[in-house]
This record gives sequence, structure tokens and C-alpha cells, in this order.
Amino acid sequence: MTTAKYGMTIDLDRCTGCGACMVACAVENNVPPAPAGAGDRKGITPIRVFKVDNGRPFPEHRTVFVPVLCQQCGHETPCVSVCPQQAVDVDPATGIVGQMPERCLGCRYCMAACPYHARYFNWWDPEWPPGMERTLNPDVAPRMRGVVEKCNFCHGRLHAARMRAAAAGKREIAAAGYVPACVEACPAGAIRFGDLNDSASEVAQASQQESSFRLLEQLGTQPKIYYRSRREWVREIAAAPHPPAMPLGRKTRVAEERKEKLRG
Amino acid sequence: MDIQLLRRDFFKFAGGSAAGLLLTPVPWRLITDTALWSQNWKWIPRAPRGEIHTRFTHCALCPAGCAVKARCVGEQPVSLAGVGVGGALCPFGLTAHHLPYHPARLKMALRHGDPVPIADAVRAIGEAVAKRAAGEYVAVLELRPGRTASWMFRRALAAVPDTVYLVPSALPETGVDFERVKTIVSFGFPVLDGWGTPGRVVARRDRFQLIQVEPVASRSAMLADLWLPAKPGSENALALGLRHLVAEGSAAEYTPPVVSALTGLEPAQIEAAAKMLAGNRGRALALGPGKAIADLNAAFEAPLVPLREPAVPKEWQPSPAVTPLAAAADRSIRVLFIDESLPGALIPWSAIERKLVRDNPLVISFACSRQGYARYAQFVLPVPVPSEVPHDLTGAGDSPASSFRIAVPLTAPPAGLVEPASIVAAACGAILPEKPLEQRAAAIHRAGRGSIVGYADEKSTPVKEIGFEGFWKTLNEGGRWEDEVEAATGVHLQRADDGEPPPQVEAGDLPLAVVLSAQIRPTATPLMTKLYQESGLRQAANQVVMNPLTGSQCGVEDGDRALLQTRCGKCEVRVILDSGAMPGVVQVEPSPGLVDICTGPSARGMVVRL
Repeated sequence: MTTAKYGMTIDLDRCTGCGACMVACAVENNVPPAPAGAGDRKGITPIRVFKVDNGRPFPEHRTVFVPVLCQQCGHETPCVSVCPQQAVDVDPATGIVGQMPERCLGCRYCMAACPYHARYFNWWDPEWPPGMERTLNPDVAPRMRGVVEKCNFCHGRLHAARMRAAAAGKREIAAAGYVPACVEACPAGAIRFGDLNDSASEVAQASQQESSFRLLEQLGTQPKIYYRSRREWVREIAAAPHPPAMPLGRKTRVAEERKEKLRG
Repeated sequence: MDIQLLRRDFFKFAGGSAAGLLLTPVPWRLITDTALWSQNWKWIPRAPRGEIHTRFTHCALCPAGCAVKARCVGEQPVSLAGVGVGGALCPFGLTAHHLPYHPARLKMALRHGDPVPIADAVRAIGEAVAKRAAGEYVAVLELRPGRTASWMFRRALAAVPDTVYLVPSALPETGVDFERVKTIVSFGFPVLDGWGTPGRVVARRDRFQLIQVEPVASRSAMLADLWLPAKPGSENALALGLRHLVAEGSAAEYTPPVVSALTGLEPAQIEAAAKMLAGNRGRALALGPGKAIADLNAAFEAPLVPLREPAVPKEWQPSPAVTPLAAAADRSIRVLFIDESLPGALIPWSAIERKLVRDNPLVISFACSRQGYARYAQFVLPVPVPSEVPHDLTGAGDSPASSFRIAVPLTAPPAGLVEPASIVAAACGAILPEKPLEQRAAAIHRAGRGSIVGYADEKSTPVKEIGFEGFWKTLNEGGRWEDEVEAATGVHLQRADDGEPPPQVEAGDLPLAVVLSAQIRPTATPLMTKLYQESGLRQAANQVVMNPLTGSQCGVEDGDRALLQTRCGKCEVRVILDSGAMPGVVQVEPSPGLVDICTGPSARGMVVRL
């Protein structure tokens, strides 16, 4: 079997921020609605669309929607390095960074290590409104509380594609036979998926274009998620520059004053 | 030789065994089994098991009626996806199969908020219809007109005198030959965020230029080729200014400097927009309400084509006419049925209330939840959610021809729900045709126009070449009937009453312009509500967005609770400060409470901190 390196390109100039990718991911992977009291980081959003702006006032103000998911680091994958349970691994056949909730003991070292904040902890037992559990995807088991989750490029779909290929007597899966749910759902066609090792594939070619960039590339983790934009200010956000000075809200000001007091 | 086993030997053996056990797979197996066991508590929901198959239908959540491929386990849909090129679904369509299980779903009839047997409700409504005085009307207000169900309402109303069938605004008489469009100038329409058939529009994004005229930094504005943040209320002036530049000799007084002073835009921006439009005569399109924009379309020779309503059985024809709500006489309606079974237009309650008689009118809402007009109704009758009963869908705004599609139900509705037209018929003493969808399909088939397209194979067959059995079967398997495309007229057929012009600012008016987003949203799955809440992607229903400068003038800060006051009333809101908002403008998402106070002449307001 040849070695693949699955990756994505996300065209930020096409993303409308509709959130279809987030919703499709949650449906595909049986992610439950978080309880009403869950805070911003306590729900599970394996792919999450952030609204980022250029920090300029009206009318120069511009925003872009940036879908952030597990970046599928290809080099010295931080979460793999720190996991004491070997619950995270990199599949050498696909390059996919996988997460095994059965092995996870919930220490959350991987969440601390991930520079992209792309991992989420299950704070609650999975629970759906009565009757809605009938709509769960039979290919994916719900996860218990106490384990970490993240995007695994819809492992259930990869498995199904392998089964189909095997049933057809083939060892390789067809490129069109395996597409993650977010890619399938994106109405704008902003998210593309494929084998980065296949130089003829659309993602391999798109990843080499000048408008292509990766998040926090300076860390050397070699993510397999490539973003694209013709706008320079959008490409600059990949390096996470210090945000420009913004007027602080009252709550932020109070917090800042407290910090100053603590510093003495 | 005697072997003497001492207690020490026993401990040595036990210790050795324990140490050796660690070198075997047993402990690891135990850990794995324990982990697996701990992931499978009995209270953890299990996914359904069964044969997996695919069904094709259409989404009825908005007029676009996107084609849907439903992955089902047995009879239960577990995921939905779009079909064909540009056939992706919006987030609401992707989760339409969750709506039957929405916790806010209404499953029993209510009278003034208390449960009431449906038979009692129907009897009380029938009495109110029978006992009304002469000249007092019975009306049906349908939020999603143009369907076969609409004809059933009209047929039911035909049985009694003094009835009126109301729609939010006049039905569209033109379609857009979207494949020909090269430039769109949108006056506040959410072109990239739900207009037309969303999947088709965004899939074609590379092939048209977008000029978005909007005071707020909406999604369409941020992704537009040119964003013109004109002052609220100055859209007509900009349309006239563009017409002046595109069609020489017209609207002579609207020169770029004049329009610049009215709109707050730079003359160069206006000229740049006109340049983008002028080069695409016959391929440019203006989207927006009002006569100035209709005239602009005429100046472009926009690719607009007349739409023909799909054929209707002749015996349905003597029915009350379609009347826009604004055209109904004030204080004339005694009994009003409001059909909210499908998401549709949001109308301020004040506009509806003005049409009701002053003393004790009866309002009946057909709804899936108590969120909408059910708040004002004496009777709320529960109806199936869109994926539980068949609905027919006609073309979306970006279609060049009429179509007829059936949203085939994916699940069965629970007991105790009502069918709206049959309730109106019972109250009016009318007898409705049986199997109306099939009768309508037969009428379309008899007319012999257009072709039928099967979604499973995308095969198009002229109607004349297929029998009714095959026609009906294809429709029920997710197929669509498409009318023949009429020749483009080049003339905008929009009527003068097709939309009200934006309100003009008056001296001494309230200080802030309240801008209501044009997007209408169906009910969201509980899953999506939480996702959006976490990501902040969608403005919540009770939020208003303001510029920090405007916020400081009003004395409010980010996250504050405040009152939004207009001439129509006030509503409690949460303030979001965003430096991208236009100073002097309050951006509001449409929601039942805010819509009631934020449209029409009340589009000026003020924000007061609580």
C-alpha cells in the first residue's frame, strides 16, 4: 500500500462563515449539544469558524472567517509527544493524527500542548434532546465524558471507504470515495481535501500556490491544513501577530486593573 | 527428597507471579477492557442500527427548496446532504432532520397558553366565523404563499362570504436568468448569505462581481468585490446616481457629487460601481425594493424573465384573490388564521394588528413552536415540522423559470397535530379536494409544458414524453418539474408595491438608524444554536451591534444590557461594540421581538443603558 498524506486547503476568500462545516461535523461525529451552562471552550467543536478582523475602524474594517480544526501536524506532533497513554498517534499510511478516546485518561496534556487550541475536552456525558438520539450516525460511537476529542478527518468515513474498496477487491481507496463531512457540506467549495503526496491532486497543487499559508508555520510543526487568501492582511494573521491596541470594554478594564494590583 | 514449602516460598511465588504478570499482555488487556467498558455506560445513547439506504427529497425550510440526499438507517434519516453541482445545503438544511425532536416543539393545542382539545378549539373558531357581523372578514395570512396549500386555504375561504387571503407582499412575477448575470448590485440583499438557492449562488461566485450597498459589514459586504457603506435611507439616491452614470440623460440631477453628499460615499466609489455595471449591460442585476431600483434594472436591461405559475386544476380557480397585507382594509378582520407551518417572512405584529377589528378579534396560529405569532394568538394549533408532511415548492429567487418539487416527508408526524387548511375548511364549512398535491401534479402534467428531472440520475425528460404515473413517481423520488424558460424581457416587471423605499431621516428624529438584517432564519436545531453561541458566528436574537463611538455617545459598553427604543416600542437587548459598524447605526438581527419595533417608519431609534 502506498503512503498517503491527507491534507486540506481552505480558501478564506470563499468562506462565507455560514458554519455549515461545524454543523456537518457535529452531525457526522455525533457531537452532542453542549449543556446550556457550557462556556465558550467547554462545548465540542472539532472544526470551529473564527471571525477575525483587520483591527481597522469603519469603513476600512474588514473581516475574514477562518475555520480552525486539528492542523494534522506532520512533524514532532505536539499532542503525540506529550500523551502518556499513547491515545494519540499518527497513522503512517495516511498521515492522519488520530485520537483514541478509549485510551484517553483525560489528563489534557495534549490540549495544553496543542498550539492551535484545536482539542476539546468532554466535560459532560453525551446527551441529546429526547428522541434525537435516533438521528445519530451509526458509524461513530458517542464518546464519554472525561476524554479529549478533536478532528480526525472523519475516521468513520475513511473506514467506510476502505471497506468499500475492499469489497470491490481494491487495496487503494478512490480519491472521491473519502471526503470528510465538512468538505462535503461546504456550500462555497472553500474546503478541499486530498492527498498532498499526489502532485496531481487539487490540494497538492493549491498548497504550493503563492497565496497559500499555514497557521503558526514558524513553530515547525508542518501542519497539513493549508489556508489560502489573496489578501495580505489575512495571510499575516497566520503568524498570530500581537493584536493592535483596541479600546477596552469595562469588564476588560476591571480585569486589567486587578492584574496591575496583583503585580503590585 | 523432601520438598518443604514454607510460607516464605509461597510469598516468593506470589511476588514473582505478580511481577511476571506485568510482563504479560494481561494488565494491558484489562486496562483496555476497562476503558472500553467505561465508554459504554448504559445511559450513553446508542446510534440506531439497520439497513442503510439513501432517499431523495427537498428541503422545505426556505423557498429555495434545495435538493436533499438523506442517509437513512431503516426509515430514520441520520444525515442530510446536498445533491448535484452547487447543491450544498445551508446549516439549517443540514440539520432539518433534528427538528422533530426540538425541545421547544409544540405538540398540543393551546388556548391563551393553556392546553385545549383540538375539537374544542375548532368548534370555538367555527362559532366565531359564523357569528361575526356583516363586513367583518375572515382572513388567512400565509407566510409562505405560492404553494398548493395556499390554494387549499383559498378554496376553504371561498365557502363563506367576506373572506380575504393575505400574503406578506405581492408574489414575484419575474425570475432571474442567473447564469447570465455578470454583475450584481445588491441593496442590502444577503446575496452570499441565503439569497436564492444558497449553494448555487456561492458555487457561481467566481463568475459574477458583487457590489454590496449596505451600511453594516454583513457577510455579503465582506466578500463583495466592492462594498458601498451608504448611509441608511440613502439607497434610492444611490440607485438614481448609478442610473445617471449608466444610462446617460436619466436622473440628471443625481450627479456623483450630489449622491456623495446624500450617501456619505466618495464620488470615486460611485463611479467605480457604475463602471463595473456599465460594461455588463444585459448581464447586470440590481436587487432591492422600490421603484428606483426597478428603474435601474430597466437601465441595465437586466436578465429578468417573466415567471408563470405552475398549472392549477380548473375547478380550484374560483377562489379569493391574493391580497398583500398592506392592501387589506384596516380594522376589518374578525377572525385571522396565521399559517406559520413553514418559515417565511417576518412581519411586524403592529402591521398585522392594524388589520384586526378593535374589539376582541380572534387570532389562530398554526405553528410548530410558540416563538412567532403564537405569542399574540388566542389559539395555537400544533402542526408537523417541515420534514414530516409533504409540501410543494416553487422556484427560488435566482431561478429563471417556475418549478414544482415535492418535499417528501422523511419521518412520520406524531399524533395530535393538525393540517392547517383542513382546520380553516372545518371552520368555514368547506370541503377540500382530496390529494391536492397529486391533483396539482396532474394539472401540470396535462399542461404539457417543461420537463421533469430525476435527481438520482439528473436525467431530464420532456413532460409530453412521460405518462402521469412516471411523472408522479419521479416527483416523489426527489425529482423536479421545470417550466420552459421564457425569453428575457429586459424590462423589470417589478410592481410599484413590491417594496417600500427605505425611510428618510427627518429633522428631530430619534438619533440612531436601526438596520434590520434581511436574512430570515428557520428554526435551528439545538445542536446548531449551541455551536453558533460558542463561536459567535451569528448575532443572537437579542443582540444589537454598534460602533464604539456610538456606544460611548449612548453611554453603553460592550456586553451591557440596554433598551432599544423606537417609535413602535422598546425591547431589551445586549450591546455588542464592533469597530466595523457604521457610526450612528444600530445593527439588529431579525427576531420576533425586535422585528415588531424595527421596521418601516420606526427605523429610527435610541439605545438606553439599563
